[in-house]
Amino acid sequence: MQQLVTTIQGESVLLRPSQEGDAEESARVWTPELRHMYGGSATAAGRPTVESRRRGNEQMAASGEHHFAIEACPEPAERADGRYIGFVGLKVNDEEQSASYRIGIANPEYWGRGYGTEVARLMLRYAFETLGLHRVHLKVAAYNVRARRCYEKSGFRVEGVLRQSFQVDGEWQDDVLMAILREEWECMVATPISRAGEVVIRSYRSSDHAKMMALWDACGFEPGRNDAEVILSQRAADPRGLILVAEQDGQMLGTVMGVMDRGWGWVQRLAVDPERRRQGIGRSLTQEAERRLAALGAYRVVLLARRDSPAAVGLYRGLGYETWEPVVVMSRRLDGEEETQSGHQPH
Amino acid sequence: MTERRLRLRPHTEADLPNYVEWLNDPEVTEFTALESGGVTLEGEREWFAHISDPECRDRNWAIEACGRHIGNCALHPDGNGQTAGFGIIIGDKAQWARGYGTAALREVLRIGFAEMGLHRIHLQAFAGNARGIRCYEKCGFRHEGVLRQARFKRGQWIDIVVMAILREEWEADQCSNS
Repeated sequence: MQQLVTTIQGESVLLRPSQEGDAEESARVWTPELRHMYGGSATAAGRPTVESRRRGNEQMAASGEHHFAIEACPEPAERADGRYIGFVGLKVNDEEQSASYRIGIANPEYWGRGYGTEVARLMLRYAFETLGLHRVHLKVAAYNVRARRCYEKSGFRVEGVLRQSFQVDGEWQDDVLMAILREEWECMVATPISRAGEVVIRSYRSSDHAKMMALWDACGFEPGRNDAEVILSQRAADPRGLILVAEQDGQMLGTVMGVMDRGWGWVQRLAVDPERRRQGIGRSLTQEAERRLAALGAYRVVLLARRDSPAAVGLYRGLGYETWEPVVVMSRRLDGEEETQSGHQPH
Repeated sequence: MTERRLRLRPHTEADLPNYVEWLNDPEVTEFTALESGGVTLEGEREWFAHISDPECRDRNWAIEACGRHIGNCALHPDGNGQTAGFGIIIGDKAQWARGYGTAALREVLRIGFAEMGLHRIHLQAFAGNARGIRCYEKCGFRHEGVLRQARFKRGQWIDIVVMAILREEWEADQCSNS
């Protein structure tokens, strides 16, 4: 399986390919405690050289694992100027549709601040949505309590304890095995706990596809070439994109899509069940899309609305959107078809 | 009594046709990662060359019962040299459920702990392999965990049971048995 994406943007981290300078930085911030967290001695002398770190990075990159360097950028403004703090990798077993997870935050200044949990969540999303895996597992030294707590928070469950499976400084130590299955991850991220009758807004999953196509049909959207289940799943998994679903007691009431373009967040294809309009569903979907786009770094939201749809224009005006005078929407058909009277559908 | 009729010995080239037959039998490989079919004599020769290489740290034995080759078992030392994984297959179906697996495993534990000086021997079993798991329990292995839906075989997700026995547990068993 080849690496599908090369960078993943989170709220306070950027995952990117290894680059020049990472080895120097990881050798510079190294402490014996880091070695100990991976089952090595807490007291032995010696520290890694830049050269050994560089070799380590090269081996990891060449091992066929999906490998990223972690860059910390606590404020969106610092994104252009992040700082290397460690690495993360997923080693995929194609046959079992599973992967083993490993992460190393080398810089102690960044321990205990939630970076590991955010990286784990981004990587689980990548594993399950982009790679379509079934299971992600890991092994952690039982005494590495901070890491175990982080994995538990991220959704991993303990599957077992390997008693006395390795030795550190003359003492036998246990390993803990943890794993998360796709269905557990989907439950965790995609379905907020909903009471009967409550409208919930959650991320799209591939099993929504048929219902979403039916809803779009009911809303009069033209079928698009890019609406296949697999393409929409990729879009939902793309860290710069999002697809949201409004649902009540398992019934799909509406959907909206969004995508990041630099600092602009585009809101696209808002669709609400014709029988459930004027109930605030479109408003809630748009607001949730805005919130998520803002979390991805958007400082402005942009959308296209039909001039001949007072309901749509009214909905957006009610949310504070205004006609953007400096911009003219321009368009040209590429397929040679006559323009229909109703024009393009706002996508 | 069974143990007296059982012996572990090194493999010979003459054993290989048996493995080709056994490992292509879906009943024999039901609780293994192997998909049935596709095991060839040439492949087994490669395996034999691999285990005969002095660089190979695995310890492999043919299992013989009353002078007849019925299966194989192995210890695969981990990188630390102090712990090892165990695997076994009884390929001759006529010899199933006669205690040969248990007898072979007891002998492997003796070699692993008393001769090789291991600290821990571990194994993985398909959760549905009730007969195998009972045998491991009888020999002193304890359950350490279950890897949920960790394998996909014949259209189904399979849970994998992780078991292990420590040297001190094996030693305590020797005292209580004697």
